[in-house]
Amino acid sequence: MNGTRATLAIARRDLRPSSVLGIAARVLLGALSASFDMETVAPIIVYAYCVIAATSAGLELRVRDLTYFTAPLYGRQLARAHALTAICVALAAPVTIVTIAAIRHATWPWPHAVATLAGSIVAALVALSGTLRRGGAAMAYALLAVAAGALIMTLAQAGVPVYAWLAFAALLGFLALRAFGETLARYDPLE
Amino acid sequence: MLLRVSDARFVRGGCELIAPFSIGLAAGERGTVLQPNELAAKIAARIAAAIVKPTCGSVFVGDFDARLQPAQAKRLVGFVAARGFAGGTRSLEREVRFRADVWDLDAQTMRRNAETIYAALELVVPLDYAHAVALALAPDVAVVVLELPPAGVEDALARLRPNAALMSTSR
Repeated sequence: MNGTRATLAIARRDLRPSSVLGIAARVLLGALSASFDMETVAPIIVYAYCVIAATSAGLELRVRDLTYFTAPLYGRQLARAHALTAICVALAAPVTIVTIAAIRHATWPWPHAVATLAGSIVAALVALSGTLRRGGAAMAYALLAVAAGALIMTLAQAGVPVYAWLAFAALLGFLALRAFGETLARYDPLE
Repeated sequence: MLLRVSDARFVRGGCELIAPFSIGLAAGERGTVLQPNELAAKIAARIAAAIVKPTCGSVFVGDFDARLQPAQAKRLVGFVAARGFAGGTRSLEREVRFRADVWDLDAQTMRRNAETIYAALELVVPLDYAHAVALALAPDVAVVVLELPPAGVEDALARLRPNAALMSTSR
C-alpha cells in the first residue's frame, strides 16, 4: 500500500476551490498586516490574526465526506492527509508576513517569526478535531486551538528558550494529530 | 464465506437504532437485510461495509475482522450510498482518479472498469446511482453492499459481478 499516494490524493481533494480562495485571502490579509511596523505597532494584530487564520484552516476542512470513510485507510492515515492540507492553509498567512518582513528588513527577531509558524501549525492541528464535533464541543476545540497557538507565541515572546517552546510545540502538535487520528478511527458516519 | 455479520446491534444515547441482524454470504450469493426505517437501513449497510462499527456483534469481510482490520476489510467491499453520486461525468473522472490513488490501483484499469459498469447500468437505474455503483465496483471488489438500492439494480449487478457477494438493505 502506497501511503504517500493516498495522502497526496486526499490533500488534493481537500484543497477545493474554496480552500484556494481561503489561502489567497490569508495571503492578502497577511500582506496587509505585514505593512505595519512589526515589533512596535502590530505584534498583537499579527499574532492574533495568524492564530485565528490557522484555527479556521483546521476547522473548515470537510473531513466528514463519506468517501474518506469508505477508503481502505486507517484513521491515522486519514488524519495525516487532512493535517497536511490544514497545515498548508494555516501557513499561508504567517509565511506571507515573515516573507514581507524579511523583504522590508523589518526588525522582527527570528525566534518570534518561527514561533508564529509553529503556533499556527499547532492551532491548525488542534482545530482539526473540532471538525468531527458539533455545537459546544466544536466551539471548545476552536478555543483550545486558539489558546494552544497563542501559548506557543507567548512563550517565545516571554523569553523562554527556543528549544523549550519548540519542543513543547512539537509535543502539542503530535498529541493533537494523534487525537484526531483516534477520533477519525472511532467516528461513525451516519449522515 | 465472504461476508459474515453476527448479531450486529447499534446503540446511541441508550436507544437501539437498528433491528439486530445477522447475515452470511458466500461468493455469488445475494441477501437483503430489512430494517424498520431509512436511518436503520443506512446504518445496517454501513456496518456490513465496515464503515460504521457495531456496538456489539461481529463483522467479518473475507478473513478480516472489520473492527480490528478495517482498512483490509474495506478493500474487499464496494459500498454504494443511497444518495448516489451527484457530481456529473467530469467529476466522475476526477473521482475515479482519486480512488485509484487512494486504493493504490492502476488509474486506467479503474477507469475502464467504471465505464463498463456505468454502460451496463445507465439505462437500468437513475444516473446518480449508476455513477455511484461504477465508482464503488471499479476496484474489482469481492463484496458489494447496497444502501437502500432502487429497484432493478441488484439483478443488473448480479449479472455484472456473478462471483461477488451482494448485500442490500431495505426498509
